[in-house]
Amino acid sequence: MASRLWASRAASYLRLSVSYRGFASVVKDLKYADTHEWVKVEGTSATIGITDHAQDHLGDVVYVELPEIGASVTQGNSFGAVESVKATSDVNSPISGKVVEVNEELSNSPGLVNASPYENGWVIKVEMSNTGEVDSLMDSDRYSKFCEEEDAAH
Amino acid sequence: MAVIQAKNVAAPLMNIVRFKGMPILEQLHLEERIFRTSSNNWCIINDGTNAPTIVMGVSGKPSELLELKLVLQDKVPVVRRFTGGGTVIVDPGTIFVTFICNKDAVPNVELYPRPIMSWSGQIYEDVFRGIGDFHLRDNDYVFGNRKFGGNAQSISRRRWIHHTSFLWDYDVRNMAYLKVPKRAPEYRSARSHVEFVCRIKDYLSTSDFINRTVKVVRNRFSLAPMQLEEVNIHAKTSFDHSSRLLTKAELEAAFVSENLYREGTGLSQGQFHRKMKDVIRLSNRLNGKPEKEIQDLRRNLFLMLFSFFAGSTFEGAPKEQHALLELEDTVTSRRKLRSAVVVSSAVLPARQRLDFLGW
Repeated sequence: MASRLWASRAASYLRLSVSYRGFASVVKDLKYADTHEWVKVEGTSATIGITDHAQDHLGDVVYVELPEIGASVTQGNSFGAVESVKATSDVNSPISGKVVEVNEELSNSPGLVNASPYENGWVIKVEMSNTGEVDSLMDSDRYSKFCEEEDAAH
Repeated sequence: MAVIQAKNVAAPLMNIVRFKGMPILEQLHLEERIFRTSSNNWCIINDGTNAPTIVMGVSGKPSELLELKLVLQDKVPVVRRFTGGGTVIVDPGTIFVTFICNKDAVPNVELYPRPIMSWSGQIYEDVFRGIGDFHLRDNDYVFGNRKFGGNAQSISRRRWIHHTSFLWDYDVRNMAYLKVPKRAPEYRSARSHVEFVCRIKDYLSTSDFINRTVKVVRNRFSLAPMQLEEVNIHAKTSFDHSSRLLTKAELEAAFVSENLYREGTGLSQGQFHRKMKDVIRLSNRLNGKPEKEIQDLRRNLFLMLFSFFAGSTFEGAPKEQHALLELEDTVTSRRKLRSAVVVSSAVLPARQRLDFLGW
């Protein structure tokens, strides 16, 4: 951990870009989209957030744009955005349904997305309209491989 | 000759549109529409915007970033754009260059902020080769350690936009409208605007800069010049833009709230916001409105409601009265509170407040 910190400090002093190819963490029971969001399904309720791989590549999140409660989300479509390093990046929904809760804490502490992407950094909770959609998502092993392949390609 | 042609056949197609003096809000609307509804690659160049305008990023807070008293006094328009990043003041001396690309057009660039920023840095390294000590530094374009170009991006599933405002020239007086931001890159070292930025004018003419840029882009893409009228063939004609002009009411509310909370409330900004949310909720309840979720206070709306609430009478339940008294006690000086209320009531005519609340 300390050597990683030293390395990135040295790199920024020398004005080099560091591509950190560490292994991003995944959580076993979650499902994953190829746009790097995770979903935790409990019956017809789903909690959605972005993965460790995503938060690491995005950089420090300074603002999260959340949808209104009651808004519909559609699998594969954007429902909000995060801001980091001068960029707004779309956050896409892995499943379809209606937003029943949003993580208000993110208004005061957007950094939760970086610090705790799978727990306190959750973004929205959705009442699913089609539980079958989960089948088209990746499990943790497949997603890990997917991340490795993506990073290797660039 | 044959070699060059072969290279261009392989290069992805990019539409290039050039303007002069287009108003920045119009440009942002065009860019957002193209970003969201077109499937082509684009390069957009606007040589100067028509009038000095402040442009903030998607999450910019006016009270933190702007000298609001001066902005309101001089009626400087303030635009919130759809991309991230910081605050700039643009004018006829600003040159805008925008790239909107499909993921496939630049396959080595991952759809994240830093790879895209790095790609752009390479483009401009080529543009300024032999001209100045160019670097991409902390997401800014600099000569040495002085910034001359500010960047912002928006990234979707398959596309990204990277746009830059270049200081070909600027009016020093305009810098007075901007505060030194709290969140600034380290290399800025707390320098004032004037000490931190520099002008491309000292290195290149506008036409040289633009021509050099087009030449570098032509080396990587197969350029198809396009007129503004033709853009509608490639993008939806109507679109729900998120870039917008901030209203006078919003700026005034931000100004009043900044001063009220600063004047020794003894509360942290977070605590103050939470208290204000309670006041708004009580006000809604007492006025028989349904208790709906209070919007993100980042938009600086709440002080208008506070003045409205304080100005209205209520025969509320003891609990509500107690909450209001608790808030009043927290504000150390009642006089200051009253004068702030008077100020806010004065600057915000009742009709505007009601319109603004959507009541």
